[in-house]
Amino acid sequence: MNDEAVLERFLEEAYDLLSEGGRALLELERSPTDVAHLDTVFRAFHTLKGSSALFDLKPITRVVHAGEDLLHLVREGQAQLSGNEVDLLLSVLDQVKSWLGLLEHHGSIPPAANETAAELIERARSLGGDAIAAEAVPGVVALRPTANETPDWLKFTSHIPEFVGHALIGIEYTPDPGCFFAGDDPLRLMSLVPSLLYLRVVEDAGAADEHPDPFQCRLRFRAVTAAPLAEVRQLLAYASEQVKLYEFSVGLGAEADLAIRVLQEISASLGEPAEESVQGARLAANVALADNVLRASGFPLQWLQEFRRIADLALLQQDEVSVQRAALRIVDHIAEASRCGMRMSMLPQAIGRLSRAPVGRPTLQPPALARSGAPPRPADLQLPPSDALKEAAPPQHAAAALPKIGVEKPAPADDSRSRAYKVDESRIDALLSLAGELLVVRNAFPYLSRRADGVFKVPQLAREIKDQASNLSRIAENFHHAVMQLRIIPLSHVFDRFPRLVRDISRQLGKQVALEIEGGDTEADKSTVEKLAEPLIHIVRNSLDHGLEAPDERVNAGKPAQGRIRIRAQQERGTLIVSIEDDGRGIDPVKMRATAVKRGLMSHDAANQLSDQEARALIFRAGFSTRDAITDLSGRGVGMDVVRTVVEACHGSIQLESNLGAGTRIALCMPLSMAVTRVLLVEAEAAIFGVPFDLVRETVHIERSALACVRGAQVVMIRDRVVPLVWLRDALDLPHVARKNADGSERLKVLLARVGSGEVGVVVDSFHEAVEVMLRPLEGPLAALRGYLGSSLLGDGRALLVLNLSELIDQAHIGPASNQNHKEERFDAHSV
Amino acid sequence: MPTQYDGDTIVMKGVCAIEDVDELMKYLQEHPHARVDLTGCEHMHTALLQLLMHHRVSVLGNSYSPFIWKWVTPMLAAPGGSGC
Repeated sequence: MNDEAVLERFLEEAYDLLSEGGRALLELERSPTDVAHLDTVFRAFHTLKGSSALFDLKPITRVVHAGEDLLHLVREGQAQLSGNEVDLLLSVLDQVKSWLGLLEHHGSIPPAANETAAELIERARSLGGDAIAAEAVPGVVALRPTANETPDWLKFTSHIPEFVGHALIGIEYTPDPGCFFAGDDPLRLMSLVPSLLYLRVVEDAGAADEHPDPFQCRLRFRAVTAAPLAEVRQLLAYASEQVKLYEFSVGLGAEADLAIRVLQEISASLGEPAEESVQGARLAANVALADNVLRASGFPLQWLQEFRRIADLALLQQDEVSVQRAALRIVDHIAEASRCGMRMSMLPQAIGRLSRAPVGRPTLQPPALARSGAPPRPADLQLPPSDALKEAAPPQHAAAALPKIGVEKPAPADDSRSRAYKVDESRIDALLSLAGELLVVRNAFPYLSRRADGVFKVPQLAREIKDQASNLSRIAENFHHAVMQLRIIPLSHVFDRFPRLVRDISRQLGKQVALEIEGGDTEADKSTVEKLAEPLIHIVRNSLDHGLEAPDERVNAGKPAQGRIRIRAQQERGTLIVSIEDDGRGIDPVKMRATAVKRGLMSHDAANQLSDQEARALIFRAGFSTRDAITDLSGRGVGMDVVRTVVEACHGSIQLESNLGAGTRIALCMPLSMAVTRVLLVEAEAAIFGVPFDLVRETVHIERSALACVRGAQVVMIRDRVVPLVWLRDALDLPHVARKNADGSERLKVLLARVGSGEVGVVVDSFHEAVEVMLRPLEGPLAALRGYLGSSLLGDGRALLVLNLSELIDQAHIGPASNQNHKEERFDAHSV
Repeated sequence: MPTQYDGDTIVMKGVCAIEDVDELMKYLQEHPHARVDLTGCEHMHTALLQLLMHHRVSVLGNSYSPFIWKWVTPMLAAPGGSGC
């Protein structure tokens, strides 16, 4: 594995640890006595410390080490975990995350990180006192360093299984450049080191020359030996000036040692000669055993996947060697992970569980388990065979557990287990794009069929095209659906960040808040979920900042001091509804009107004309803020404007419900999928436009005489509702050609569409069919055009512009009418 | 001489001492893609190893010497010479 891949894996695991640790930390704050959460947090810090040390990421290692020390005090009952401690630990995780981001994108952490780290450590020390180490201890424990500091290369060697549990000596030998003339042969000297477990030679500076002097020694030797110190000293006595010795030991941990042993035994047993019939069963049993050990032990999933991939194939081919190798590879992984500080505390339980597993088939005794001796190693494994390992006494519990594995067979591998593939997001997007194009191409067939019939006069062909097209259509739709499934993710993706957000903000504001999240497992298309993140954050911030009152204010109002915010997601009729509800002070329409006037958004009269519901909806207007003091939280009301913009860009809608003194509920209704948009085609002045189908309430024909004019704007009464009208040709500034309907009537064709929380009538020349299109945003010079959601191609090859009604209406300066007939607009998803 | 040359292949046999350095250097300059056969090699002087590593010479054949086979061969087989 090259350095880059190793770093990539480190980053991946580190990000996982950060989010896991952060989550557990918040849980822990809620229930400080929960040992499981404390363990999770501790493990996250501990593992991060170990793995960051591998990459010489000192600032990271130092801060997580300080965090770990603090957690250790908490574990030992010597420190409390109050809000301040949690604040610090969260800051550490945040800081590490931001450093990892820099590392990922720039390849390094800035030098200033050391100062930041020092500040964080200082904060930790102010909380935990001197028990917090000022400096991190490296992964390898130097027992009695004969030299000043353990060198990095020694840390890298500590994963070698043969090193485990032994007093070792690291030798760093830098021969004098002129040593050849003195008759020295450093390589010869190294070859004399007894019990050599590791040797590497590195070329020193000067090697960059093309033809360096061959009589100058530029090599440095790094070795590890299990020989006694005195013996090593004696051997190297005459080169002592050029040699540094390090005494150290590697504590792999009993559990990791056990895991390694089990896997090595499995590998060994597979090599034993046996009857062919026994071999197959033995292979299956061992694969299942390894599989179970790996699965139950909490190792990273990819190890298990790696093993399964090889094992499944090997089972088919009865290829024992591959399984052997796979098991040994995992051994390497474990050793490496253990070096990173990963704990495998789950393992003994896992073994216990295995031993209790029901016996389904005749039990098998992997022969090697009852035997002693080092397992055979495949030739490609570069580690030298070790005498040390053979001599090592197995841990007590390992000795007890191992025979059990042999006696009772674990449950056979479950074939129905799910496999997960890691696929680059862009590949799925490309697939989805193609699936969408396929649907659009399909739209061409009805058109083709009509032409075959109408233009070429071959009705038979037209019918056949139609038949084939329906098959194609079915497959294309299924295909599209299948690809969409690939992109589906749960809302917890976004919801998971709220506990932290709410905690931080409420602490900052001095408010007490209980957050309830429901429906995190509701699934929706990735793009929908991701687009929801920003609006949701703004709404939640707004609720915290403006909605919920301070504790004393709440108590005075007869409410519990602790406020409540509930975030809830559900799916209904192809719509995803996410609601955010608080039990705060509610939105005061009187205050809203006053603020609107104060901010110069509208005249006093206009404000007074607004219904209460319209006045509340003002929070979604740009440049609106009701709080006198502008905080850094919800800022200047910009956030809520973003909510509207984003939701409408996704063809979604917002429902607002608020009772003064009782709370506010905002619901975002989003289409589940945004990849293919269904649009209704409308015609104005001989040009065709699309309107997102889910915005269309109904299409009506009204008599011209039914039009009325209210304060300079045309409106029409439709079923007791006053609906403002906009002429599409005017809104788009199309050249007007006077015409009458074919039947000479004066009836207007009006599309009633939902815009924001209101309704508007759009007058068009005619309605056409509804089609599914792949909407592409306008690009280049067209991108600046307002009033359009994007463009697409129609079945006959014409370009189609899809309208953004709310932008068009903003341009036309006509406000949509909200439903004035209900003072308290009831939240009703079915009205969509 | 313990170090012999056969086309593009360097054959090291027995104990190869520092005396072979000059010739080996000249040879490596002329044969940039040379490989080394260590089958019969019992020991090579540090200076020879340094040259082989510097020229990234890859190895043919495993030495009978456990030390060469276990520790020296991997350093040569791996590009750059350093294993960590």
